[in-house]
Amino acid sequence: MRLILFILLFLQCSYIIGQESRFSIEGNGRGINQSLHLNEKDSLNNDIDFESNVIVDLGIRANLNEKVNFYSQIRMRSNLALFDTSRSNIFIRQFRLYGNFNDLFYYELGDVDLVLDRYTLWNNKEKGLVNESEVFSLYRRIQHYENFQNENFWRQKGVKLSFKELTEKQLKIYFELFGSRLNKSDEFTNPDIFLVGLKSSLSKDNQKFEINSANIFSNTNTLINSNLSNHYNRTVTASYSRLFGKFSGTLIGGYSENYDLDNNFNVSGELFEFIGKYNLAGTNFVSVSYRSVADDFISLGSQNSNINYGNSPSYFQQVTNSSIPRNLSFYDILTDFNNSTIFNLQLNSDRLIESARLGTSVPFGKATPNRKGFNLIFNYSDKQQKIDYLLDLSLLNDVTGEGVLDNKQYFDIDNSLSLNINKFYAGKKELRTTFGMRYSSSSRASSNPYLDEVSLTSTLIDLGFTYNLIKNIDFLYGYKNLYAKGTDYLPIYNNYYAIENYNKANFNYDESIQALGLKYNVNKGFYLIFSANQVKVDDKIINLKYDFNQYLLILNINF
Amino acid sequence: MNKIISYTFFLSVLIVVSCEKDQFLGPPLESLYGELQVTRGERLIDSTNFSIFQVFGVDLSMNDTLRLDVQFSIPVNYSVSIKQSYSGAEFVYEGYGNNMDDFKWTGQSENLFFKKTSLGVDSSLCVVSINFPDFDVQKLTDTFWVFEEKNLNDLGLFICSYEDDSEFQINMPSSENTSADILTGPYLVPHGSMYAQLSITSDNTYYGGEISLNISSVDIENYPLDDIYINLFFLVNPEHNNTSFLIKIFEENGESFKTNRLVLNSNGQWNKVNVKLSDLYFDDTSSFMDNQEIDITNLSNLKIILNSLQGSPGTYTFATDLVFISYQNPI
Repeated sequence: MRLILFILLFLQCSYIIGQESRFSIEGNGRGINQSLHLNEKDSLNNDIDFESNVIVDLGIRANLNEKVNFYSQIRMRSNLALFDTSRSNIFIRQFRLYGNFNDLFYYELGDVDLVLDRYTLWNNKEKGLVNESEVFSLYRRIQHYENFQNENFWRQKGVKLSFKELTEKQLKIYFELFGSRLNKSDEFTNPDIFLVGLKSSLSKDNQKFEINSANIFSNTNTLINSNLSNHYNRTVTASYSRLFGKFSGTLIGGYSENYDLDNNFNVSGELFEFIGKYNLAGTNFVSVSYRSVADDFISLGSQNSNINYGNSPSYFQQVTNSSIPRNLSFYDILTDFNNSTIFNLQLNSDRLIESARLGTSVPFGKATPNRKGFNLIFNYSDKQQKIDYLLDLSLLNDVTGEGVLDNKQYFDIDNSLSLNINKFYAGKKELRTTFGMRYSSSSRASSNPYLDEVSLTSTLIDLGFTYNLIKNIDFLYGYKNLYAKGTDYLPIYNNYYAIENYNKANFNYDESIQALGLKYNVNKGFYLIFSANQVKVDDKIINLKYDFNQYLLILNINF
Repeated sequence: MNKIISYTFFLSVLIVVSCEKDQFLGPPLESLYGELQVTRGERLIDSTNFSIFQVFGVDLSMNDTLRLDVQFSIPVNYSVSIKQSYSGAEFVYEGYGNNMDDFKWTGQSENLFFKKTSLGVDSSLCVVSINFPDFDVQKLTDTFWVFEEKNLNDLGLFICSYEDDSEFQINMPSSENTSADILTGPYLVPHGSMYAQLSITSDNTYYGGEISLNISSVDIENYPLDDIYINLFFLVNPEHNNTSFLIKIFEENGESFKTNRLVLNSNGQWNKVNVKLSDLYFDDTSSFMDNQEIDITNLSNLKIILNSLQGSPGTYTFATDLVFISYQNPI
């Protein structure tokens, strides 16, 4: 009751504040009802889960003056599954002060989004999607919003200063400096860890020169009676881009240093990349690139995964009549909205690795160490937007063999095709289908009869279908399947990110999810979805086979 | 200006061209997942530390430690089994590594005790074997003697093994068809050479006789009741299934405590049974009631009572040997 009164009072105040032109209110409201049912054959585990909650995020933007502005977002949340307010709460979800010192300098303080480039500071997004269906995209959008997965930014608490000037000779100068404390010392075993980053660029007409640097280091002086030493990781890249008519070229060079002076440890690694891009008509293009990233190129800011694959899902944590703990499935990543441990919200020094089920070619994206080879991207869409096609193909090798002199070969291909079918026959009702396929393989022959050859393939398929049934009501269908099979020796790294062992991993894994739903669109950002979803997982290596269904009701309101 | 930017950039690229290495990264794969070869271990047993120097036998009473001097070409999952078919004793250990430095055996067993090896009785030799569950290779084996058995006092507090008549008293219901014997053979007993055997044929087997042990002079260490175990050995033949027993203990003042009836494994072999002292509860038929809590400094008698699980008519028989108290863990 007190919470309701407080919310009413708060909204009233917000409304009054909102009348003031310097203040504006924006936000998002969402209600979710989830009902999950585990297969009846699983008689040992809890087979029904029911979750229902409502949230309102109220954002207040205050433009006090040119120098001082702030943005604050307040979350009000209530669990509707319980008829009391014990699981209702209200808290500040984000807060940021920002403004201009003068015409040249801009600052941000509080919750800041930080990114540099793919090799220095970059949030690698989850890989389990290629041209995803609309129904799964809607789920994923909620998850990304919930977990601050904004493009490739890292959401950190810190400070950011930037400088921007256009000289009389039309030279654009940009300079950005930021800092954040990634980890707070617990005074015993976990030291403070800091991030300091720098981005600077000079651009004029058709060329651009850019330098990025990320420095992540620990400070063990705040620990009591600890013999831990300080670790430093520094990455620097320099890039030069130039446009020659329809052709553009970019050269990137960089290096990393990882050192621990107390233990006389110092390793440095290098990289370079050349990207040539030819712009076709419209937004179409074809690009070819070659890169080589040394095995000891260590970049804590960009070598990471945004998913903690080792954590447990919220529902049906144990399945089958042998009560086997299950790992995160695609579906958990898409719809486990209340689980704050799935996404990696903070940049840290653990170097979380993408699940090997999704392929082992680039677990850290382009910043994956010990890879060299070519990448081809081709994008085509016609003027009438009937067809949208994207091809992304990579042929990579190890720079240096892992555990043997022979190198692994990696082949990745992504195909995305979207067809707006109604535009082929000038139909007014939207009829759209999407298709995505990723095939990733790693292979290495073995000259030792006692060592298995490496042969791991991972195939991901996304299918989607959207049809406008009647005004404002869409029929949605989505299907996703991952099939991984084979063997690979996965490196295990020590504290200095050097390989100390291998895990011989065998896969025979099949996972599929599909969803059938109706979406009622009130207006853009205001919609209601009801969907029936089915999940099937079959891991033949560990004899884990389960399936469950979920009914999902989502009401989303942006205001 | 443009030239300066271009030259600076190309120079930096030339400097940082990534390099390949002549060696591979990390430890060699074949040292972890290659061919399994036993690189040391002509004889598996390392006899250098035995109390009887360089003889392939252990004196368990002297706390001899058996180690295995074996090395493998790659780290492997291995399983060590030590068996003595004469006594039925067995010990199993599972490990992982390039060698077996983590393995040591000081006479522990899964169920029955390892017995002293007898001259001319081949089955009294202990056989140690090493298996590799992940590899299709022949297991490695070796044999050794047990010169002296493990000193039970190292494991806890000895109460009785029916070798000495003064340690126990047997009471049987006179109105029923019963038998109570102290026997040697036909079974090899867990301890010494004697064991007790009680039998009853009756319409009412809630009480089928008892073995009473005087424990008034036994000095039980002051552990919590949760950490004190009464260990016993029983043998029940398959035709006497549903034979059960219960334990009663009495304090000097007459207050008594008991367990529920505990069914015995009727597989015709000796089986170890352990009962936590905290599993005993106040006996309503007690002749005296004090605080209804077991006082280990004031115990007078321990009784092992024969009965059947359902109290139904029939013949119920068990053989029993050794009563032993251990602390923190069952033996």
